[in-house]
Amino acid sequence: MTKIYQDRFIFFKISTLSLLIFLISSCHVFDDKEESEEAQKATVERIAIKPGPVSQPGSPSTNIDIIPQEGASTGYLLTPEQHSTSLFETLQIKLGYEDELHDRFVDFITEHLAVPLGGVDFRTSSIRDRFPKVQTQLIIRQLAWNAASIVVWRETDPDHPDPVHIFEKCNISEDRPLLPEEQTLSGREKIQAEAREQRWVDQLTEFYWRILVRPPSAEEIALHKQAFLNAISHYHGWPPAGWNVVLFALLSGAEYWNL
Amino acid sequence: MTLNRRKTLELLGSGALLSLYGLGRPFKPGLAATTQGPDKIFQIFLTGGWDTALATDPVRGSKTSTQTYASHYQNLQMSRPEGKSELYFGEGLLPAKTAFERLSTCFINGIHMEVTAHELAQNYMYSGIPSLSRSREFPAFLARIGNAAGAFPPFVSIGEPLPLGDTRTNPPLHSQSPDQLGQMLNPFDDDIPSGIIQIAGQLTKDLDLVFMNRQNESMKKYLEPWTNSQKFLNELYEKKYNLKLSDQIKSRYGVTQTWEQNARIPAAFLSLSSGLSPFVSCNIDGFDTHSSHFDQHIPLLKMVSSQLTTLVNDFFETPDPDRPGLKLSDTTLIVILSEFSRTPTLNTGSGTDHWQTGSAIVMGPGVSDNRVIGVTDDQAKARGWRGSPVTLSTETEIRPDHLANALVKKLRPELAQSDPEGRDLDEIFS
Repeated sequence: MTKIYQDRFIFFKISTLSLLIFLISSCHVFDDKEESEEAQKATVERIAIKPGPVSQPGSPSTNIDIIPQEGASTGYLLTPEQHSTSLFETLQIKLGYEDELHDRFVDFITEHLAVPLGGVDFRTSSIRDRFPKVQTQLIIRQLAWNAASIVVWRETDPDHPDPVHIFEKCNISEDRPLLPEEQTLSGREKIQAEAREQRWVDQLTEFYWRILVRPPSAEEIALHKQAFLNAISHYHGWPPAGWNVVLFALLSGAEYWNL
Repeated sequence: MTLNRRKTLELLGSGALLSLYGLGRPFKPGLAATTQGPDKIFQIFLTGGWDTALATDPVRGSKTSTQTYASHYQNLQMSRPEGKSELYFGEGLLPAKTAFERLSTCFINGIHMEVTAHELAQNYMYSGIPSLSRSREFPAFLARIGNAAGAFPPFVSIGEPLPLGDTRTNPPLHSQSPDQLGQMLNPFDDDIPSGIIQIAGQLTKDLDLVFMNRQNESMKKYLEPWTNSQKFLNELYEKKYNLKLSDQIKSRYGVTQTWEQNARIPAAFLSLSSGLSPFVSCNIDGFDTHSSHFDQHIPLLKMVSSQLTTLVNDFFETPDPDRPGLKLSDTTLIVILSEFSRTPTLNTGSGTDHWQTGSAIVMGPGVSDNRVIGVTDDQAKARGWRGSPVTLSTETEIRPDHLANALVKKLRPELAQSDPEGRDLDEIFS
């Protein structure tokens, strides 16, 4: 009895195994078409969506590079060359250094930071990357803060070796929006405070025309005012600190970097 | 996961097979991806082509009686690590003796380099993929590993940039100097109050929102990557990675100025130890000594070797930032590469030229200790597979792709592409 049971059991096992092997191997026959379409889609998804962090728990997931669907892309990222030119044309800034050995100016942006900014150097990369990564944002913000600091320092430092004055509409060290406590002023003091604010708005408008080629909206002016006043409160009310923040925001924003 | 006929059948079949196993014998689970071995790589690339006779393949034995090598080699020292009788190394690596003693070490000699043009050979060694294009169209194997690991940033490169291939993969944090890398991660001056940083970030975010609200649907879709990529910036800034070379580190590594090459290895160490990325690469230039070879090459190689010893000592002292209870010496592979080696004889300028062999060093956990893979013959030519001195042919040569593939296979087996003839340098790892 035991032997019969064992024989039948072995027979059952072998036949089931054979059937399963047949079924699995015949999958290819049914799904070639579906597989190729799926493989194509999966390929696109694999490019677009990266796995989450494995060796760095808590670090940001890298599944952020979602590529828009075909036909949805209507803009492009500012190239490093365009940014370098723009900084010079709008703010008279050239980020780089003189290479005296070779008698040329080394542009920091195009020669050192091109690839992380999505550009090409034809050594590391020969394809422009239109989709910003977190690394791109890091560089953008680094450059924006550097540029903003240079503009402010150049304007406020009386001993600056290369002074360039672009604050044509206001006095960088004095003019600012009204502080909350200044809302209750009256008479001459109020007129002067409002005049300072107006000059500040005029200068902000000037920067908008230079950098974004348009005037700011009322909403944007309000946002800048709030941030400016918050910033200078950390510096005993010193206005240039606020301009650092304003210029940083303009030079690191989506509108500036996406054409 | 989308179910289709194929997947359904596969699932059913797999389930049935598993249940069958249960009937006859205990089910033996398949091997899962291991996370017990090394999960980090520290790569040092010696750009220009290093002299392996001063390094992992010194002139000894029958080589000393041939006319192949310049006579000066006879006057140079060589040594072996204590307890590792196979690992002969030359004068240039003498300062690294302790490093070889402390970590499992494997030398790979006799790598055959088909082309000895710098960029082509560098691309090949970096990527493991031969190409006659000087533009780096294939990503470095370190880039592939970093991307597959999902680490952010996927890798850090200090000095020479690594090949990226398609830039749609995550590009590295690359900088030519540690100062520049530090600035990228902390663009705000040290004396800027942290409140300012938050105000500036918030203003940017608010203005972006105003801008986004003005766009049409198509443009909003285009701007999604922009918005998504900003999400983690504050997290990075808040971590305040300290990549500044302290006086203590500078002193330990013999750093003179932070913009000089001798700052790159310690900067890469900080990138690894701070948890910035598990995959770091740095390059040291200056090994292309077409003139005054020994006067230039030996001091430079000794500088790297000395820093290597300091690095290994630091690995033993430094906790792994991601794996509690372990040190970097338990989790990190050190890989030293160069694009090719130098001619065994000197040219008219007392220099050396490019030579069609290469060597590499792999150190760290899981590495086959006291092992030399590959060999060169008395004419300094690459010979043979697995150390067998047979006539060189495509069937017997060791190539950069074998090495690259072995490393990729160790850390990310799913990326490995086995040699169609079944040759892999698996014996690098025990």
